Amino acid sequence: MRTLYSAVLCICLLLSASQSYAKTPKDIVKKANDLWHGKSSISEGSMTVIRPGWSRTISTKSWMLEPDYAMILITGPAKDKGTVTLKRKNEIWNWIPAVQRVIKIPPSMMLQPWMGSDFTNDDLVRESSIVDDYTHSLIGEEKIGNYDCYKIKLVPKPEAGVVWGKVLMWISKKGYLELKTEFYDEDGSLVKSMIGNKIKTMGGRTIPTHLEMIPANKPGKKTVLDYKSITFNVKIKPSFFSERNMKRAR
Amino acid sequence: MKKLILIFFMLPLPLLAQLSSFSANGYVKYLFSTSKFPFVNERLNDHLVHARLNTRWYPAEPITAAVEVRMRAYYGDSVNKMPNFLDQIKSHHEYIQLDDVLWDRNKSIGYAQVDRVWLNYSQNSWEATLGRQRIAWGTALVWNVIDLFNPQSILDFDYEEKPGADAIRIQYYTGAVSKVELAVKPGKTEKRTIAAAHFSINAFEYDFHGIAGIRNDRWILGGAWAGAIHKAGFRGEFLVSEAPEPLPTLSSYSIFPNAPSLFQNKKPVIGAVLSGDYTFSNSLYILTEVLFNSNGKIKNAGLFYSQALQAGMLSPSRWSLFQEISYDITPLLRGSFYAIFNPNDKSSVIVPQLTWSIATNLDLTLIGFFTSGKHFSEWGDFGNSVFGRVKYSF
Repeated sequence: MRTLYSAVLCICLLLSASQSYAKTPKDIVKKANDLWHGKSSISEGSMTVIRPGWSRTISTKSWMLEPDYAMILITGPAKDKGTVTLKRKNEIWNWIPAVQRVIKIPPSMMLQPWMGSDFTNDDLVRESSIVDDYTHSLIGEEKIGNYDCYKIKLVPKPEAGVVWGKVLMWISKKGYLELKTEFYDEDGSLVKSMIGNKIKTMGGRTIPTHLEMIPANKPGKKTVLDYKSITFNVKIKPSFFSERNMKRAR
Repeated sequence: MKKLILIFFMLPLPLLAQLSSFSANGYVKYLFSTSKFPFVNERLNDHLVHARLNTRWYPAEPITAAVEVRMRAYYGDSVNKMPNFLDQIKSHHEYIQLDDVLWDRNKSIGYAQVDRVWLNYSQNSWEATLGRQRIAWGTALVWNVIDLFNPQSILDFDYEEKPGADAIRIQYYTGAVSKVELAVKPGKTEKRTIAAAHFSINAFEYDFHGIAGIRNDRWILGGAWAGAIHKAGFRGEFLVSEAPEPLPTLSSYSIFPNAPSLFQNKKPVIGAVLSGDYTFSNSLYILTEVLFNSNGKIKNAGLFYSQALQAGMLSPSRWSLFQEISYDITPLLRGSFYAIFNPNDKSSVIVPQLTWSIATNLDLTLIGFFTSGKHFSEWGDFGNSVFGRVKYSF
């Protein structure tokens, strides 16, 4: 139970707020990033950890109001179904329907990777930094599938405290879709790649609805996020994120 | 009663589940146990098939109805060799039992019970719940001294949902994470009635709780908190009650009729829990809890189990220490180990556990239950057991 919060955060990882315009490499990254962002959202999705010989899927429905409020209902698997996580600013509570009990979750329990997921704590918090904590340069143009893409190199600013040596991003010219991202360590070796596909229009935006995080040199291993639905900028107030609604979420 | 359960199991659940106003889930478990108790000559081997069905019905926006049924089928040595076996597995409620002994033979017993059946009405900031429900106010993870209505034991690991209480509960939410409430569990006598008011507030990133009420015809006052020190969980509970009046029937609950009782002390009784836990980034989890009972015994605590139960105490001893360590050996295999130690009589129980996720909804668990201590110490007469369990959730 205690490790579920990070899993559901993963599924909702790509959501936060702002707008953008021009076409410097930094602006392109910001536009790709902003595609996932809305002041508020309601989404349904799943995360699947795939390993040689086994896989496990967790699915959720979540309500978010950036940056402080979230409510996440686990809709599968059966043994965890109905568990709800409520986040208000720095505090997190779980509702365990089997024992009709609210449990306050300490900070050390929050970011445990679910089932050894390939999405890490850094992926979860990266949204705040991907634009501001890197220096961006356009290093070429390449085709990913049917999409002409900008290839952008991101080098962390010395003071940013980012774990990567560099990050490469392929962002489509049309629609600013982040279709591929490669993460390199400080020695320049590829650590993992993220691939975005199954591009669909959801909640009025065209986005990759299937994201795969693939660790390098680990055949048969990956973690997949699938979005079933997303609605952006829904009308929910901070007061929606309450103990009462946590018990009634479905 | 049999008919009621039969009807319940015949409901076209898959069909109903398609309606968004109805949901059902549950599990089937098989548990094998082998035990050696000091007071029974031979080793006892037992098999238990345990099925559970949880249903919810949402007939209209403010209303939720719940019915949860639990059925257990025992086969093995304990059924006829353990004294009062049926009485031990049965639940006891004040007015309506909602249970049924399906069969009772030499080595086999079938028992079904409805352990939740409640109706909830929730409108604006108000919420009312009537029926068999859990009222869980505690913040600690092992012992909850402020859970007046349904005290439970961590050792009953095969009953994750824990017992419910037949009560009326009214809650008013004063804020997103704060509320006041009133709960009453009516009893046939004043001594068996429990009534309490509860409030909870959130401040400085902590939850604070306060309760005041009546149990066993005695006033009680209590409080609890849950928060964190740095990143570690930090919580606690305390409960103060008037000195209990010795109940006339109590002597029969002790092995020796003239043995000292837990109720000799005329001072108010204080129960308290302190709890801390921490999760490391490599999944290593540690949980420590301490339980204090001012009326608890420092010697021969094992003789006072029934009295403690009667008085709503979580342990008959003065001090109890709990320590858990658990770790994900692989993403699918979790190992854990906990021990409860009585520092007064040096008795203890050690519980190692391995849980393997075989498939998405299928888990295999191995549990050991090893006690040590002198006769009549808190844990000395519990014996040793090993359990193997397969659980399929749906």
